[in-house]
Amino acid sequence: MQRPASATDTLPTEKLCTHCHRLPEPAILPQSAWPATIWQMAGLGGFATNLPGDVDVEAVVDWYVANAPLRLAEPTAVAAAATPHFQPEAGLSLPAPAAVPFVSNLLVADLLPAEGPELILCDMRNGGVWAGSADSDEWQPQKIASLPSPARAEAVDLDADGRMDLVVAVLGSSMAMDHLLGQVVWLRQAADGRFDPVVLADGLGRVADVQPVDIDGDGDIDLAVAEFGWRQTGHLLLYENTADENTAGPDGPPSFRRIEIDGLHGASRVEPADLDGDGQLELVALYAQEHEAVRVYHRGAAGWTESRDLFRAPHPAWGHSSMQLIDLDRDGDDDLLLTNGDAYDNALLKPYHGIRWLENRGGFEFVEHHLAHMPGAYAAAAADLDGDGDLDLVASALAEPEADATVVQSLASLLWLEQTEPGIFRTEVLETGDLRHPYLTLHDHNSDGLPDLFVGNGCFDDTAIEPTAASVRVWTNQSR
Amino acid sequence: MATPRSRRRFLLAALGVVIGMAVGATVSLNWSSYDALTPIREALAVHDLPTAARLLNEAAETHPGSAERALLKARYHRRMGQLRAFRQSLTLAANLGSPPEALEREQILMLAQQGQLSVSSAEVSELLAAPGDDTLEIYQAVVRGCLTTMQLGEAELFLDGWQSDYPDDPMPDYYLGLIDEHRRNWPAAATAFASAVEKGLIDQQQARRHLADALRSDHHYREAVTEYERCDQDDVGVLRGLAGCYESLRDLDAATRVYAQLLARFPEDPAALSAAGRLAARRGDHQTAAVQLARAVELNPSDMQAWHALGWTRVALGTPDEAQTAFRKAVRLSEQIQRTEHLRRRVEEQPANPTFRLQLADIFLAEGRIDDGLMWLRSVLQVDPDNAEARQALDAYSSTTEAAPAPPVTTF
Repeated sequence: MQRPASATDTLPTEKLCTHCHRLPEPAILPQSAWPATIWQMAGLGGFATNLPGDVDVEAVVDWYVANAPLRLAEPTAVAAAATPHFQPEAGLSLPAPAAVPFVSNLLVADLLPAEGPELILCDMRNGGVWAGSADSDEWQPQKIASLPSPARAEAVDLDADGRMDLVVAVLGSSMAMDHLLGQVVWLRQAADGRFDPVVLADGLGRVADVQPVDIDGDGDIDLAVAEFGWRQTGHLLLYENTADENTAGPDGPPSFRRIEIDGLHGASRVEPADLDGDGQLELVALYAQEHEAVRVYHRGAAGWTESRDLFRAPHPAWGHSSMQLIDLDRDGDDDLLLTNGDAYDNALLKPYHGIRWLENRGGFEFVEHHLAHMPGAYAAAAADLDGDGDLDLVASALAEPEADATVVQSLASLLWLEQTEPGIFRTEVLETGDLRHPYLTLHDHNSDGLPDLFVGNGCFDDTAIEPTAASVRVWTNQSR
Repeated sequence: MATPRSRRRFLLAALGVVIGMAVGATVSLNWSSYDALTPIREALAVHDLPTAARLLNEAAETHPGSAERALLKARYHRRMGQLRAFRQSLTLAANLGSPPEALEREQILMLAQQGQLSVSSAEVSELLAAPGDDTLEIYQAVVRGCLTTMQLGEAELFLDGWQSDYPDDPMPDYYLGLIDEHRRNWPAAATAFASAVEKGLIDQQQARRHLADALRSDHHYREAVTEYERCDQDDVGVLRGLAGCYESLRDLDAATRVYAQLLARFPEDPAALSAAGRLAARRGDHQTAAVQLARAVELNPSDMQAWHALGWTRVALGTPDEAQTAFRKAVRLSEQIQRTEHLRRRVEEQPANPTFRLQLADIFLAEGRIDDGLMWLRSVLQVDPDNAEARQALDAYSSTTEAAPAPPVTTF
């Protein structure tokens, strides 16, 4: 391949890049970011696989640098509302953490029905799963398991013994890395309320999500698993419960058959849904990394061999960070609520970060609606927050950008999106500058009939934060 | 409008740091008249330490009882960072009748160079107020001290003054390159090292290697190869850099060849074993990779990349339990590397805050990297001379190692 003489020359980038992902336009990153990005790609397996002979990587770098903007558009400064519809209350802290906790997941579930709902927290950094009353102002959490970098927990009575258990997706490392330390762990509740860890699957890459579901309608619980991995590892997996084949007896651990649904890495979420209303559950997966897509998988006669992309982001720097299936327009089918704001690849705040609603029009056709720009958008949840009968949204941001502190201070870290008319959302900034909210969830903490907001905290550079700082903050809904 | 440089000059003046202007009472060595020791002084002035060493040895024959020669030898050892030899030469100078003020000045310079005296201390302030003929020595010692204790902003102030007073001196460019290297500002580092080379830095090898490293880190692999090839090919760092460039340029045959050459000369170099092992794994030769990587982590248990590659090699060789052990090591080390990076950034943002320096010291000491840990402990005392935690830790280590003990709370 000839080195181009000028920036206007063209390179066979279509063939060069599209073996692994969509063709990235130079405009998606500033000039300064392209050399490291291209050289990193050049070290990976798929680079230039579509082209015969060797590729002059320097020419590719030169071309991207020549055609890229000097810098990306600066994010617009915002200010928090003078009288926001949510008010922050006292924070909840974990007792004596060794390091600043990183809340990767919050879940409200009835683990111990006699005591009201629990708030379950995964601390990715210190490797703990904690639970405490979700309704009490004095949370007093108990550590129910120590696991290496838990990413997400879901409540399920896996062994049908009448006691609620948890299944946990275990990353094995909070750092992005290819290894085989990922696990799926069942925290089995004993009669005395203790949770005993049972490893259901190990030797995996980093596991980001596990969803219990009776996917085949045979009456037992299967597990859909998003093994995110990193660059070389990762799959979308189904662990099919083979209880009927179980030889371990009624008290033994359930046995599962591993089914590889897709060999792609980068799956961060998986959810079961019947998107087309045919009575059969599909699996919907959110992919990050270079794929940046939402893909639905169907089970056919030959197994889980059919899939289609419901959404594919325009380029691999998109930064998908969360997905929720919810009937946002209340028309009887599940829509997709997406955030894209992951900036841990190059610490840049992107003008295309934000919150999007993919409206289900039936027949697997989804229409994209951009709801709000939010640098570092990382998590979102939907509920009728103001009691007017339609669904509203809240969203949080997580980012540690190499940006001026005054710029970061003027960015929204919590947003409320009030649905004022069908499909029309009014944005209210609840908080600015604290872009360290990896997760949030909604629960009526004060029993006033309106969902309150639980915001989990975490960041990778915790050197300026006390370990005893609040891990979760409750924001009370003031809409009434 | 003030340029960054003029602004730094202004800050320097605001600090009361005015060098090279004092003409009053000076206790510096009197270099003003030419004598038989002048070539030694000139060699030191152009940072030609090998020549200075040779001339000092020759002068031992011609000036066996010269107090000034002994003092110059102490100065040479200080520049070389040879503490014990420095003390011996200084003691000899004292016995031969060197003026106490000159001896004290050399000691102050040594402490400043080691980062054990703050630039705002009374001792350094006195030096700066009356530098005599020692301006260059003062710049050198203070800048090295600032770099040792990661006071990069202050180092830049003095480097600006140094460049202004001695525009042809390549050393400030070299030190500026080191600062940019620390900040991972590779284009600026490459420019600074190239300037040091162009101005004729005596240690061309060192400057060129840094230049090549900066070019490589800035992804200019072909230019880096050119610079590495101009360096001494017996240098382990040069060969490692060269092989790394070939790997990045996807010329695995050339990389394999250089690693073979490297290991033939330095069979127990842990970084070479690590890099060669990783390349062997990349090429599918897991048996070779396993041997090289296992030895690499034996020699350097902190090598995260080697542990990680060893994990995958063990997977390929069918020993998954051993692979998991290697992966866990790699994960722990990667978390530690990330934390260290964050703390270094905090130190640069808040150089006067001892907390982050102490945390870095803890990490390195726990990891067995004693020299790094002690350096950070000493740097704590520079910004907080009364810090009891650092002092106790340093005293504890100095009783078990040959490291320099913590300086007294009140120096001199």
